[in-house]
Amino acid sequence: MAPPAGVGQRDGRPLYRAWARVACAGLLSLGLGLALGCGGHGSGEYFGTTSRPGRDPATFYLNGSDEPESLDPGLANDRAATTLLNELFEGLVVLHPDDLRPTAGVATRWEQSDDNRLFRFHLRPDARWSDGRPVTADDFVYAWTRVLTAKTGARNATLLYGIRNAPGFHQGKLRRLADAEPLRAAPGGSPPGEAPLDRGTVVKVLRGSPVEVPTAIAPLPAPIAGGAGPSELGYQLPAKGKSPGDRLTVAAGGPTLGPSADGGWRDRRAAVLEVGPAVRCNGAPDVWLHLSAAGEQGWLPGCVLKQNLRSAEWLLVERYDELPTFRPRPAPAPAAGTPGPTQPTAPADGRAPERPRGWIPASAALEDPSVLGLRAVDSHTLEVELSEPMPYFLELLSYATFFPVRRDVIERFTATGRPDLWYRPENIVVNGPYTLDSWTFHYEIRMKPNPAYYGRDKLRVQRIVWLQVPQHTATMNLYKSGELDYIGADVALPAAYMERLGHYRDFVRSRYLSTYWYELNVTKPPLDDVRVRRALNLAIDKQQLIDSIMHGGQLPATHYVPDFTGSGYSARAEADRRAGHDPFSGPGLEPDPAAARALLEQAGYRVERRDDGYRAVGFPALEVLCNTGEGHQALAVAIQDMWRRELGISASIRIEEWRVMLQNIRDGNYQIARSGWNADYNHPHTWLDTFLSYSVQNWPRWKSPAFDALVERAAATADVGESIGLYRQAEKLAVDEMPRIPLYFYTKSTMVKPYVKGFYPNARNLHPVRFMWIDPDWRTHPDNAPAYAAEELPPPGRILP
Amino acid sequence: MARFVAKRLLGIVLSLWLVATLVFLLLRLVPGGPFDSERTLPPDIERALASKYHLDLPLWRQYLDWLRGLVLHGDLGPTFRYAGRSVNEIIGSSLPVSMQLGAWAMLLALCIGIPLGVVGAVRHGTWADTLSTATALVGISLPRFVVAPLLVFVFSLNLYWLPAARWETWRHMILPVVCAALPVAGAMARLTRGGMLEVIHSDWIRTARAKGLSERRIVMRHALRGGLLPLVSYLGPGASSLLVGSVVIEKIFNVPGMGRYFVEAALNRDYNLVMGVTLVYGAMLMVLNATVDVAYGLLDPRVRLE
Repeated sequence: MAPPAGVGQRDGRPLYRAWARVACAGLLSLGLGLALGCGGHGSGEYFGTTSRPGRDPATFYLNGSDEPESLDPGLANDRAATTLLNELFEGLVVLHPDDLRPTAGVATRWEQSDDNRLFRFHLRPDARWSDGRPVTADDFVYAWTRVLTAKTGARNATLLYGIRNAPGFHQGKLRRLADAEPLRAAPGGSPPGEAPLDRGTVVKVLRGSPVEVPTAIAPLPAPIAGGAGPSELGYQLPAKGKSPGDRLTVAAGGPTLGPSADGGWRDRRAAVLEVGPAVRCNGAPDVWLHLSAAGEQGWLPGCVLKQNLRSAEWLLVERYDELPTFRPRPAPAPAAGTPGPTQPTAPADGRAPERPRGWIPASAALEDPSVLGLRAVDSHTLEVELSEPMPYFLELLSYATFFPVRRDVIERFTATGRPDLWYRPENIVVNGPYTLDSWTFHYEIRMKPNPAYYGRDKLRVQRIVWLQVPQHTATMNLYKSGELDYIGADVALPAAYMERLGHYRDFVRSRYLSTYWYELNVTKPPLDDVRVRRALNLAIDKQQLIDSIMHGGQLPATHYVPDFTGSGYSARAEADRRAGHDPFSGPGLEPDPAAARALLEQAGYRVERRDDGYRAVGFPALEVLCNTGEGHQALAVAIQDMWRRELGISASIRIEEWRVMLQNIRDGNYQIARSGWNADYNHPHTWLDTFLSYSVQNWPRWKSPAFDALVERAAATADVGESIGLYRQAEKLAVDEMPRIPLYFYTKSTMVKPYVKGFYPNARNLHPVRFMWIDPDWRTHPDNAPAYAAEELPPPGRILP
Repeated sequence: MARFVAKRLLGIVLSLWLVATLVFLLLRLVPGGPFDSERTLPPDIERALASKYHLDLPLWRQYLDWLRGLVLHGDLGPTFRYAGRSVNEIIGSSLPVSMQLGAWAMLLALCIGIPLGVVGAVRHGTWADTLSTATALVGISLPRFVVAPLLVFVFSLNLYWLPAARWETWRHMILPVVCAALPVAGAMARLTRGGMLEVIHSDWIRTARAKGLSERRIVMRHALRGGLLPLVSYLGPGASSLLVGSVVIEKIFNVPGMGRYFVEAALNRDYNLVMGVTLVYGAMLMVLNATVDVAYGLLDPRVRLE
């Protein structure tokens, strides 16, 4: 079937002409294809057309890029959905599109206690749902409670964990007794003579029964008091690098338990026979439990056991007293212990607090949202009590998870068994400026103004067409030919064309609250040595990575929190720099290959000079794990090269598909992995939280009690300056220990047509259409005014004791 | 004939079942789950999500439930990524678009390929033959991801004749259909030319010539029927090439077809969607191939379907 070779010759026309034609066409198309991303370069100030012939000036076309996974504010988790939800719903506050300061949303003013723990929001009386009903404080209480109800399956529930008792309620650990209930010494045991707990008492669930034994820690014949060494008890310490669940310190400075020689109990279901004396394990108070499994009996501290509280038949509970009072604390006493990530460690004497404790049937205790520090005082007043002062609480309120939703609408669809239909265009009830008009799956979403929105008359864009074009070339083409007014917040411009696109006047670049870093698994040698970790950091020339690979004007990072983070961080960073004592610049932090080599020498690896570079003698080969796409691989190759050149270290690169990589990182099957963190809110806590030793996000497995204590203190400090100072101290500590190598702070580059007004570059890449409008006279009016001015929040009032 | 069709149908059903089972198992072997993201989920939420989609059940139960849903109700289950959407709904809205694109492209490919091949064979050895062969070669050799941007560059960004992307009016369809059709048309032209050349030199054409039939009649009535046989056998693979190629075309032109889910669903570990898309593609390919076999029997008197 191949073309007969003789054809051309017989005709006197050699076949190579046909081939030449093919080659020409190929070359031509290749050249044109390359020119495509920035076709017409130099032909004008703007990329593509700047007129909108035949297009309605009140319709705004933007590329949303991706299909939102869910438009339920409580459940939404992806970028596309959160961007869309910002048009459809409105939280208590709205971030100003320019500098991201909180401005009035549904709340027009608020009061707070001096310790930043109590908030009282006053809702605007004219806030309306799209069906005309008023937006009330109960809508917020319902929405937040719903997110914190485990059955809802909200992935962002942890964002609400600052609310008093939220973690306990969410995890099913705080329950209210449905009736007076005696506390038994063992599950199913006979009630003791003591007085039962009153009906309505709130109890904290410590454990359920039966339980599963997750690790190979073998049971003991009897509970031990602190002091006895592991070897005396027949225990051996687990091998270095084993997962922390295999290892257990029973009391501060006391014995450490590990797997026994015969393997112990692994993943067995054990019944609880008896509750023993109090014990402290890994810093947390707990109790010894007498367990029986498969005919064997023994004692284990409760903290090694895993279980599903919600399927247990019996619960080990203790009375719980820290219920919300909605009153400020009289004195600045340290906060009492509550469950959750910001929990301060228990009293230093290592003894559990004295509270009635015992087993009750699970059916006797109900999960009850009234334990939450959340209430509607009246229909337009909302009160929130936090467990600890949260300096970033107001920042959070503009996030989609905190948006109000309508109970009756959601419950109506839940009753039909198709709960996710409530946010389809024909059903959805919103309280934001726009509502859904049509939704073509994976193609296009159209929005129109919410007729009942209090600011309806101020909106200048009367229709939003949200295209879903994931491919950036197609997006660029549509933008160039004038079918898009704005590239959209979630489309990355092709890095290869970035520099040339940067010459156009409709190119916009902004810093973005996100840090790109490499996770160093500190449990894996040689990365367990801080000198090695620091050496690896110092050998990377981050500016060069940005200039030669990223091309996006990213900022080289010497630390983890972007310098331009709000909530007082950027001001402090600026002040420190001016005062000349910036903790995150200077020697030991900036790239310095010589210092890196010196550190490696200190760590015991001789760095020899070879004719073509260096060689770290005896240094094991490293492996960098990164996911496919977005230049991660190119970056890893460049870093690999820097390490080889400057330190003489060899590193291999393992490329894995995104989810495969996530799984491996979580399981600890990695040495170095590319990662990073996007801000959930404009405050340093969002990054530093991921370094806490108990954070699920702590992928390097780096544990520092000093760091934990500093961050906890910083979060609980009301004074902004002092709090930020503590955060910076904590960050400095982390930078010194270098469990992650910070590479750069992100930027976002996009393009928006010059006739779009009210668009501001900002560090969260938030571009609400409500403030935008299309100005046909943009050439004569170059100013960039928003469609309307955001309503400022007055300074908060005080809630006095 | 009926027996043949019945046998083929049974074979298709069996193959599909095998494919489904295999894909089901393979998907579960891939590391990472549908709800993994950078943000680690608390165990309670993970549990709630898993139980919502019945992923907490033992594997065999999940498999049987899925199979029962499919066989009894034609239900491919919910997607994991897009809350409240069923696989049926997604395929129902995207498959027609892909079919439309594929059908137009196939039609266009036939309209270009057959005449090109016939001209090449009839004017064998002349400049027309060279042109036809070269054109076909260009069509085959240029990948769609090269042709598509080229056409967009010329017709959308410079001449402003046609839209650069999207799927709305007939004008939006021209570029994607042309791009999808070109490689198929090229292959068809070469097959037609080869088939025709063989037939033209056969004895019965010589006989026809000897009978004094007009050249036009010989080509259109006698040569074409035999000469198209290789083409017919190519229709199955050709259709599959269109289907697979639609992944690229749909991406470049942002056509809301089914192609995108081919890759995307697997990356998202959207188990049900992967199963659904695989089954639909598999079924289409097998049915097309079986149809081609039947057509072959009808066209070529030498082939008997048993």
